[in-house]
Amino acid sequence: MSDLVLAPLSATAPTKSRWRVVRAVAAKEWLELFRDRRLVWLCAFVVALMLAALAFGYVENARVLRERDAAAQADRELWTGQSAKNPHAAAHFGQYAFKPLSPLALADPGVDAYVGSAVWLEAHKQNEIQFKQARDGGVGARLGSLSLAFILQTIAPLIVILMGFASFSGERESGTLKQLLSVGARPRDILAGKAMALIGAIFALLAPAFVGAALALVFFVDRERLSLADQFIRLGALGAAHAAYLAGFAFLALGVSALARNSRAALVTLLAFWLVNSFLAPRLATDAARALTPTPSWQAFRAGIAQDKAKTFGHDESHPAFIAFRDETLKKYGVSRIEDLPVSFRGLALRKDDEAGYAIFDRHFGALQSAFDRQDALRAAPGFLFPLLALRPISMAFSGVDSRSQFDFATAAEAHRRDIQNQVSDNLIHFAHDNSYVAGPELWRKIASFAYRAPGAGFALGYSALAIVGLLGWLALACAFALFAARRLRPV
Amino acid sequence: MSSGFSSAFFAGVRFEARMMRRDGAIWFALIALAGVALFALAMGAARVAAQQAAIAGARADETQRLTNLQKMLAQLQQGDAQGKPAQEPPPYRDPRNAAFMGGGPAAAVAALAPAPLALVATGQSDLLPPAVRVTTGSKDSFLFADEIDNPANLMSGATDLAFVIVFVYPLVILAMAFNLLAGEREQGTLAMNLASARRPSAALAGKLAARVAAPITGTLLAAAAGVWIFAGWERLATPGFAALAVAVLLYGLFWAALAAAVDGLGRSSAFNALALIGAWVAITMILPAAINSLAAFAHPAPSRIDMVLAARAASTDADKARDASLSRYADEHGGGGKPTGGPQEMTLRRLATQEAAFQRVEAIIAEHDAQLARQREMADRLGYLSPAYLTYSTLADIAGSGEARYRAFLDRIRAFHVDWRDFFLSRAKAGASLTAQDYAAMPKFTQADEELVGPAPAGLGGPLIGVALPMLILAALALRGYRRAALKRRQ
Amino acid sequence: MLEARNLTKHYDGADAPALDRLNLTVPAGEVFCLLGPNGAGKTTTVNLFLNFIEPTAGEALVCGIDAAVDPSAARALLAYIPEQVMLYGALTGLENLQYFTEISGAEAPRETLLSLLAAAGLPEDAAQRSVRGYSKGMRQKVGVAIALARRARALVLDEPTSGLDPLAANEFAALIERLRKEGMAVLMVTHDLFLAKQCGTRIGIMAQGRLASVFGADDVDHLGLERAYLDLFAKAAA
Repeated sequence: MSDLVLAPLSATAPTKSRWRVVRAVAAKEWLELFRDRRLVWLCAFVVALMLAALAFGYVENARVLRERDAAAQADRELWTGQSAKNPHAAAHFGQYAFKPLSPLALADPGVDAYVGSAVWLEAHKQNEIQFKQARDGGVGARLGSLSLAFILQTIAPLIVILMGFASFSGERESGTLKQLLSVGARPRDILAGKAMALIGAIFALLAPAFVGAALALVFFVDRERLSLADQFIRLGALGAAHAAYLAGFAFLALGVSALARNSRAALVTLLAFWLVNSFLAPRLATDAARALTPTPSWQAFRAGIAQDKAKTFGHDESHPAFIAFRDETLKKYGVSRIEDLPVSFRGLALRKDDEAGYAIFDRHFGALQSAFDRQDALRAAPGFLFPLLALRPISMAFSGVDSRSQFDFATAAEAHRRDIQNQVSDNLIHFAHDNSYVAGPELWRKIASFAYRAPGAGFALGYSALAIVGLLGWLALACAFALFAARRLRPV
Repeated sequence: MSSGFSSAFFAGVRFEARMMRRDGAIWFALIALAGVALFALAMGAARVAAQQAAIAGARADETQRLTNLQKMLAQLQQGDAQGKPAQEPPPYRDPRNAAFMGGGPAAAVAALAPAPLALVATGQSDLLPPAVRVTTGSKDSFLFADEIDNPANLMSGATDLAFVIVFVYPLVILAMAFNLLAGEREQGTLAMNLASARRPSAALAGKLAARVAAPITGTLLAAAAGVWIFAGWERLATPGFAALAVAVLLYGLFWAALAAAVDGLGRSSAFNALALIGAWVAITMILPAAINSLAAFAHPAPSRIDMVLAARAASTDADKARDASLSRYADEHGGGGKPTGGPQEMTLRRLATQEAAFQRVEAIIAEHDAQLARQREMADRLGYLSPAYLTYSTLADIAGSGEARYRAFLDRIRAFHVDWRDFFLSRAKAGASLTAQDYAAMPKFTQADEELVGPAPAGLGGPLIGVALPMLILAALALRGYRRAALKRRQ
Repeated sequence: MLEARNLTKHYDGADAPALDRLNLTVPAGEVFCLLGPNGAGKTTTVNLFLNFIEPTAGEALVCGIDAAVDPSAARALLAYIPEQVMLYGALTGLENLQYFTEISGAEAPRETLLSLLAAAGLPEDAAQRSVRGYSKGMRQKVGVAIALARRARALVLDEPTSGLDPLAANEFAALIERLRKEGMAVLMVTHDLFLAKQCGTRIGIMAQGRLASVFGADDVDHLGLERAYLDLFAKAAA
């Protein structure tokens, strides 16, 4: 002991760089996490699960994409291969529009299984998009399937909780918290260091998954149809949203751990919150949204359209509206008989009826979608408290698999339907001089097939403002809670 | 020996129950569980009411349509009889036109009324419409209509009793049973127990029984009360409810046995808690998801689009065949020019395309069904890896919202569809007009009585054994662990 | 230096204050030993200097800084060795020392830290092992090294030698003496009358939250101290 040379006593408190403290705490936490074999294995397992989920998503999406491309081509052949017939009969035969897959559905399938994939574009009628994949699954399929989003949104927060629940309470129980505070470290700096370590661990957990997803995108995205840059922007947004979500869990875990009586209480509290966030909140918020903004039954919806459509004439030549239109047209052309018109009256009538129908469909389908939007907004509203409610819509929007993306597709498909109707009616107006008029394949070929370009990331951003505010609110709230808890940190 | 065992066992039960009665947290957990179960049943009842309303709406619409057609038919016939015919309606609105009427205006509603215990599980009932309008067309044109719902609502899942049982109920059981040994060891009472009891493992088993019996009984009582309140007491005396009780009991015992087996390893409470959370996540979340992904990967779902394309191809082919035969006819009969299409030709063309489409769609649907059956079979087999998966589908079957009942419904629709087509198409081909007698004699889709009452759910034996077997194995492990703990202390 | 001014702590729900208007000054170069039975308020005093608990009234000053007002600044001037030095089990002794040194803002190269550990009695091979296998004495030595590395101007010790063997306790006493000579202000809580007499420059006996009597170390011999201690409590019991 006597041979030890000690530096002189410091005259003042050492000037601590706070950053140095934060870094030291973070480094030590990392070391501890790494030396906990169980935790390392757990994280490795979760990473493996995420990569497996990506692989499943990739294979599934590639298959569906192939199917839909083949179907679109087959439908085109059916359309152009029609025999010579009255163009309006061809319009009744119609085309099918197939929803192209959003590449990021391989990370978050979103509502894809719960919306249809194809819509029949036929004369007179806007159809619903049909063939929900979920219908074909068994009951067990409702328990979900492996997807990157599922793992990131439900399993990953659990891992964060397991990594963080004892970070303060455990140190208090083992007595090291006394030692830590006695050397003059500020609780806020300790919190920052621990948060940094935990968030670093989250990034380590997310990184392989997002690198995997980026690689999958490079292989998956058909660059003739989609911009890879746009997909990367979307992926970046997904990464940021999930990081904010999980960082909030890190702060929550630290805060609860600092305040809780002991580690057991901290764990129970955090698990209860996790359970409510992952399971109960989405269901209860959905029940509330349904109760507050009811949507019509199919029967009522179609009856409403039929009621409005009854005011239009369709093919009913005894309908008062038909007679009125006929008289008006005759007057306009200054003739007294339909046969004397220079154009096909049948074509004019079809166009007139279609146009009346367009407004009706726009109104009804628009009202239905706004009811869905209101439900979605209600569900996302408590997102600052139960962040899954805010994260999910963001994740789905940027993955292009939310109900808004579906509506955009439906609107585009309907626009294409109208284009078919208008071209067919124009053809009739100008060329059909009697009822036996038929058109041939050159007309079928002239009418283009449906080509849909999904909107860019800006579209997703525009419709997720509320959810983004909710998610940031969650992060801020969790952060504030952790700071509050750190101020009340007591080592005994 | 057995009396020694049972007296120690019951002493364990009695004293543990006394301690539990004084624990506010246990009361809170039990009441919360029962409350969530009752709420879920209330939501289930609301959903059943909505389904019944949808069916009633479809039926009212059917009645309305048929009444209007019959009225119009009477007017037309009256006009004919009086010699001043009413204005001729277009064929697609003519109640006498068999080819068009069976294809839409007179379409029959085939409905599947909710089963007696439908409020227990939503299953697939939110995706599969309870009423379809059967027409003479091919199935692709009517079988795949969907009830309207926000897709995000469907994705979020339903608050139903099945969800509460599969996810929440095990957590309460785990919370009650995870640290029986470990907790007593940590607070030092285990040694006291072991030193004083003549049959310490019996006393410990009694304590475990008391802790586990509380959530299981509580859940069963809540389920019974909910069914009574929201569906009527007579539903309690059905085989379905008995099956529900057995499923809930076995699933609860499975989790209790798992908790006891982990506890029997002799590790700390903290280890038990983490191991059991891991098991819960694996069994209720990861395994079912992995099972579904694997089954979908091995047997991908068929593309329903194929069916539509086949129907469309059939109709263009039939069109062309019709054109060819007409022009052949024209050539042979020297008609020249292009084939003309009178109303009867239109009808025949329509029937020909419908027939061609029907055949191909039936074939494709059969193929798709076989493919889906393979996927489900694989998922069901793999489901034995996860008691949660088994219990979830068992509850759906008990509620009649699973595949079995809907499949039976589809079988009956298939038979009915054949009758329906025969009825209309035979008349259309013969060029016969529909009469008032025909309207009275149209095939009706009625629901069999046994379906309304709810037959004893079949096919539950396998899944229930699938839950019971791992439960028994775990219980044996737990018993060994308890014995070992008892011996260790005696040495 | 350490100073308590009317320092009072009344725990919620307790009848009497745990610490009742304590006034105490430990200037630089002095070792003040606090003796007293369990519950006399000794550990409460230590915890108040570290602001592990909030005082009900009064002030605990570390070099003039009120621990309740700026706990981090006060702690930065104060080294602390608890009865049980608790360390991170996943880290080695050296890593623990490095960690706490770095957190405190002090700078010391690895060699210095190793020599500090050696000075505290922990050989290098033990310092490189995980703390999980350490005996209580070994932990205590790491605690001493942490306090030494800090080069703080005041030192608070809470029963630092309990559980140490006599040889180690003796070395410890020598270390304290050396720190005192360097000008450190030391407040040591102990049950060990012998240690108090050996290290202390002044010795206080606490009873029921008050400082009942104070002796200069030179004013009393070991037996006298023991007699005074026993008399005080015999009187209180009577």
